[in-house]
Amino acid sequence: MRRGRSAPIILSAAGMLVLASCSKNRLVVDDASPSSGPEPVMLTEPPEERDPDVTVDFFEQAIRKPLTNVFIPPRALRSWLGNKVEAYNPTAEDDVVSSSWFTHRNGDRRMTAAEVARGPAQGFPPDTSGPWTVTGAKVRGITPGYMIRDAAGGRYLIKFDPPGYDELMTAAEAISSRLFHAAGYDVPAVYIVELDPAMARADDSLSFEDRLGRVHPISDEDLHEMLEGLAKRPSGRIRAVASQIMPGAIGPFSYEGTRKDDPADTIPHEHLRELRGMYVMSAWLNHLDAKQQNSLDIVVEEDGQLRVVHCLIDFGSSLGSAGIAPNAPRDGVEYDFDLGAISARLFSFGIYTSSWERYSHEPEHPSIGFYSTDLFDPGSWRSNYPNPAFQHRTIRDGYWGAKLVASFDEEQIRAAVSAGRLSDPDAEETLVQAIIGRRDLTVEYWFSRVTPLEEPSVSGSPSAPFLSFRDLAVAEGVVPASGRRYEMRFDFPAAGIEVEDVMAPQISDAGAGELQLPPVPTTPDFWPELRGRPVEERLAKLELTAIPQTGSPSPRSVRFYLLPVQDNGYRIVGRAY
Amino acid sequence: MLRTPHASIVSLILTLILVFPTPAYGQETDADSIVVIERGTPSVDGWDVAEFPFKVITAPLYVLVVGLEQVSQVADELRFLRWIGYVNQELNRRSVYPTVAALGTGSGTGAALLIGLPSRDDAHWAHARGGVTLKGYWRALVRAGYGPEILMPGQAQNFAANAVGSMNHRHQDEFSGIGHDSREEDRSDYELDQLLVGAELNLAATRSTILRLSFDWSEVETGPGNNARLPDVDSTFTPEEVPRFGTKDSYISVGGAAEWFKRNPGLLPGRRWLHLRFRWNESDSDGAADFAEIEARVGAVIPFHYDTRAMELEIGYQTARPSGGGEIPFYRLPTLGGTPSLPAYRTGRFRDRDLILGRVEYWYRLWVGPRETSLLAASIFLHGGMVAHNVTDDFTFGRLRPSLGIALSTLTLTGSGARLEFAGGDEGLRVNFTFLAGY
Repeated sequence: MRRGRSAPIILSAAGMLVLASCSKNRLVVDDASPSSGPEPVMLTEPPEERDPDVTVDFFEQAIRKPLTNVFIPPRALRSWLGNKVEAYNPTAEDDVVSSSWFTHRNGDRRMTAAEVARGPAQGFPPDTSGPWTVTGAKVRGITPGYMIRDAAGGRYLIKFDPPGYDELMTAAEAISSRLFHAAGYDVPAVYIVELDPAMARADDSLSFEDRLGRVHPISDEDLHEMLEGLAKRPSGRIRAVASQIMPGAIGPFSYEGTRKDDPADTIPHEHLRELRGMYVMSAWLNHLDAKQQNSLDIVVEEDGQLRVVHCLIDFGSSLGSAGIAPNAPRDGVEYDFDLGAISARLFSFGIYTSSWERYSHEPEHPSIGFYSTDLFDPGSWRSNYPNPAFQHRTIRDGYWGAKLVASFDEEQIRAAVSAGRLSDPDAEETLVQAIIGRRDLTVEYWFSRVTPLEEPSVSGSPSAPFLSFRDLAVAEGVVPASGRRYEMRFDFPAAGIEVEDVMAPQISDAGAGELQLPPVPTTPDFWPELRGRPVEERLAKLELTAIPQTGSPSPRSVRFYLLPVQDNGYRIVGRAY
Repeated sequence: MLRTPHASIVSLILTLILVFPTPAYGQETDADSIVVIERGTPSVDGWDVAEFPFKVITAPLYVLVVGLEQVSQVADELRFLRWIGYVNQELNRRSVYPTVAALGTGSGTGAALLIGLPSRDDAHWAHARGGVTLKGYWRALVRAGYGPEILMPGQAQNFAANAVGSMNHRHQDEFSGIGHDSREEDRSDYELDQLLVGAELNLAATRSTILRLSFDWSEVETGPGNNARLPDVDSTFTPEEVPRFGTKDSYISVGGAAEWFKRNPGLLPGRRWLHLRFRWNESDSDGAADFAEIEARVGAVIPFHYDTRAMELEIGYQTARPSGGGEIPFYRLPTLGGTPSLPAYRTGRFRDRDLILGRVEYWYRLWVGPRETSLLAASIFLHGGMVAHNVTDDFTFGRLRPSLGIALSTLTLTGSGARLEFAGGDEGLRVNFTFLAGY
């Protein structure tokens, strides 16, 4: 595998037929794109544990890099022009293979509501019937928590809701983690639990280490005193969210660069489609704290071999929760410290104002905080501070992520929300409608940025070939089927065919449509001559651009690379947006 | 309370860049371009210092160490900084607070120590303070009180009282002459020693109104300054031009002030204020006049456009009026210059019996901290002011000394802030860095 801008080669596990490239888009032409496959290199020993500091990370991403980019003209110009490099690892179908980063789940096969609600859980939920032992404290992150061992010996990290906002953080974590899991990301199993504080025990080794490295033991009495300040349920129990401890943890992954001691980790993370496309999932669910400290690499052993699996953790700052309080309207609209917005205000003498500054809102339900379609812009959503992979995203990455979001239907969303165990039905319904509303806005935004033709296939005969497809914009109701038109450019140099036309095919409400393609020449010497050419010279290129409705943005074209075949005319061997 | 760890880091960085040390409270000062402004001004001339909690210094160093640890092994050698922080923390726990302080205009910065006596309850307090700056200014003070040390509208308690005794030594304060047409090139310096004993009663009459009563006895002696770069006052001016220079004067003063102060919540909070102060100073020194001090200020910050912008307006008048014969000591005359009066001029540049000042400032918000507890704002300001023996006789708009400039400010609702301003006027451009003790 090669890396770098001049290396447009991307390996996939299946056989590769042709590689071609253009200036911006890496094209993989493949005769059988895989949907899954093992990674080629395994570990011989576990990598070292990483422990990056959030302060340094924040300074680097939010301050140093933006300032550096301003003072390096080529970078500033490229950023301004939006001239970004495409992801390094899409397949010929502009998808990714299932890997240690991502596993095709709901986008590949519709999960049942029960599967979505269960999430990654394999066994039983925490046993809260007996004593639970606190074995450690989580002192990092926005929301402190405790490491516990339940009555059955299971190990969990538990966290509590902020004072005055019962169910806010715990529900957000439970719901978002399930939706991220169903989308394809690996997350720990997360449960809503109610713990009896009287049953809390301090482990003999339980202690607290202050910043000077001094160790202070914690007794049962200390523990009960700490738990005393937490809000109680009517039963006297404390509601918490319990994340199953993932064994083999070696610290977070970075959203840029690679882990040097993992030989399988060869593509810079900011150029991984899975992490760039995660922007769209994060925007949908308002996963504000999508920073490297909220990721986790774990070493797993499979068939006697070690490999690193990359997981996401801590969704406490998602939906309407900011972890220790509800979100503010600014969250998701601007970075916490947004140098761009600050500069815009400074140099416009305050004339520039952002949408959140003109917005006034108090959360209707304290248990769900501020999470709505108001102020939500799927294309310019912001996490708490810049995430390198998100910043490198292109429209292709966004479209890929939007397909993940679009894969969730109302039943699945309701199933995930029910896992948050919100006690107020009104709040639960409000949250469901907000998630659905943001899903629809997300789909509308990204599906109108490209010509979203999926499931392409060519049928018919060499003299009358047809391209069948499904237009996701029609299928998702973004545009009506009637009147849907495409600009078509067909270029087949080997046959001397060049066609430009506007096509208005019949499209069903489910988005299914067909387009007639130019016939393959039938002259006797065509096929022998074609076979004598290099494979890249045998290709035909079909470029389709949806004609937008008035007021809608102009979408990117979809380009299909076609290999002439004698049975039905063409075979699709590559696709790019 | 800040919402996220990185939000607190932002505040910390802003503190480093713009605030540096944060004053615990105080009324004014440091070198000629650093001033601390307090919105509610106690009528007793007490501990008017800019004082900075030591942890504000050590916390950025701690962050620096943590950061260096990520990229370099040499940071191990800097871990002693953590222990400095630890020592400070342990001292604080024992009611001992090392601070970095400035002791009035032109004093420079230095070290100070506060020792607080254990409170019997939340309402009773006492402490001793002492500090010396690198320039050799020093001050010592004991103070005890009941209720908040500085009572402001909206606090839980509506009554506060305190008593203070202080000694103050300053030896490089500057003087450019009396009158609106004094010349900057006549700038000279003098020494001042002050002993003060006083008491103050504060009453929050309503949620927006504070009444203050004060009584104090003070003794001040002046003499030649010791700044080698400046001539002494007595070599530049005649005795008539520097009333009461070189004498020891004592005064018994009784004062009263009423402050109406209202703050509206908002992303750029609005405020309105009316400040009236009267103080009678009875001299028991030959040749020194008994005199009254009167001060009136009225102003408002009016937010608009979703509280993201605001217009600040203020006019103020101040006078020192003798009751009969004798002179008012030159160091007791109202002064103009520096922040917040005329930022394009040196602090205390103009002085005379009367003073009038108008300020117009357009504020616009650049950034607001999580949970709206702090903000970064820019502003464009125009100030105009003059001093005169009798301002009603001499006032014309053409004689107003202007200050036009821009400023960047950090402000917090509950704590302190800072202001960096660039101001131009008749005597050139000045850059001021100002500490603000709360918003």
